[in-house]
Amino acid sequence: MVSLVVASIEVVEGWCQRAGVSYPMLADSGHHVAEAYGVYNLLGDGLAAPAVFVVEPGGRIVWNHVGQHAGDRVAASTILEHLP
Amino acid sequence: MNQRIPPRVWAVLGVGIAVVAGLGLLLAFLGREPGEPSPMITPAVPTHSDDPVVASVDDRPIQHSFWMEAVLLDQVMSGLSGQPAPTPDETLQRLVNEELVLNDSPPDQEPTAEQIEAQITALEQAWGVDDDAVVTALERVGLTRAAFERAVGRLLAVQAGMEALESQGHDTTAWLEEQRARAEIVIHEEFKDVPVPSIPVAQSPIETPPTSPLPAPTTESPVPSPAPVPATETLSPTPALAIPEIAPDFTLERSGSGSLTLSEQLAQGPVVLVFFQRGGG
Repeated sequence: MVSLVVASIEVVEGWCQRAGVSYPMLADSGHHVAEAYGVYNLLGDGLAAPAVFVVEPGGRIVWNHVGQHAGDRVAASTILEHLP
Repeated sequence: MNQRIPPRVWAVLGVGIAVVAGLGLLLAFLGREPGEPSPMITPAVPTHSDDPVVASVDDRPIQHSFWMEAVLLDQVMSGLSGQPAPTPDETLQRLVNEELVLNDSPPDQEPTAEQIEAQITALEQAWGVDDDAVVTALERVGLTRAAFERAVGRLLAVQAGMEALESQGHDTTAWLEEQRARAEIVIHEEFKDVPVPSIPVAQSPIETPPTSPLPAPTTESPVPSPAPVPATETLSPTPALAIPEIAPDFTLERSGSGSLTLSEQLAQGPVVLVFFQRGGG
């Protein structure tokens, strides 16, 4: 799993330390990646909407879920069901 | 019914509170891995009753409306803290655990409004948001700040109960395991198969959830469909319009050190990309 946040690397580092995050957390400080995936500012907050993309090795996005509000997230079990 | 304590049961509120207050007791229940699968009970729509009982702990009922409110609060708080939300079943199991604590070790006095406000302020600081952002996030799912205040008050009471148990020499993890083995815990399995959704909460003064400018998630099709966003005057600056079929490659700085390139990760197998709305600060 790779997670991304529209924030500077300094903010991301601080958050990872406070929350004890053990997986890679990427800093999309210029929100270019969030824009490329179509999830930037969907909630009008200048951030990425909470979203999940399952990408197969060939690069195709085989499943996605884009949150419609801040708390709209899917269960981990649902994501696993869509892994190729 | 004997059930082991799901490791994620306390996670959401636990993380928020523990980050702020350094609660070793609740931290004992953390340790959730984002990729960890977990059993799930789909929240149920009231059918024969306006507010059916979805679980009971030694005959003390947990009502559907209470569960739904907790599920939505967990979703909101997870979103604000940048964590994946627990499943509805995990939230229900947490409520069961809270009942066990509150029944066996009730606080000497209920948390005061000042204590609740202080805790909310601390949570907002930890999440890097102001009170307006919290209220907005709550309103998006049809909740009020009063519901949030009740949840925080209950958590403070549970926290006090657990601290009291620890002061009596109990290992709280072992204590909860024992209580769950002893207690008559009934989860009404018939609610598993009742489909539900996006949930207006019973007793909420907001009867209809606000409509979202976003399309429904593409959970059915293996091929993502474009996600057109209707032109909405209130969104600014410019909402993105589409989700690509092919994942755009990127290289970004990563926590720890160095950078990560998507194509290099894909060379090793499928990748799950998770965008968090907020990472703090």
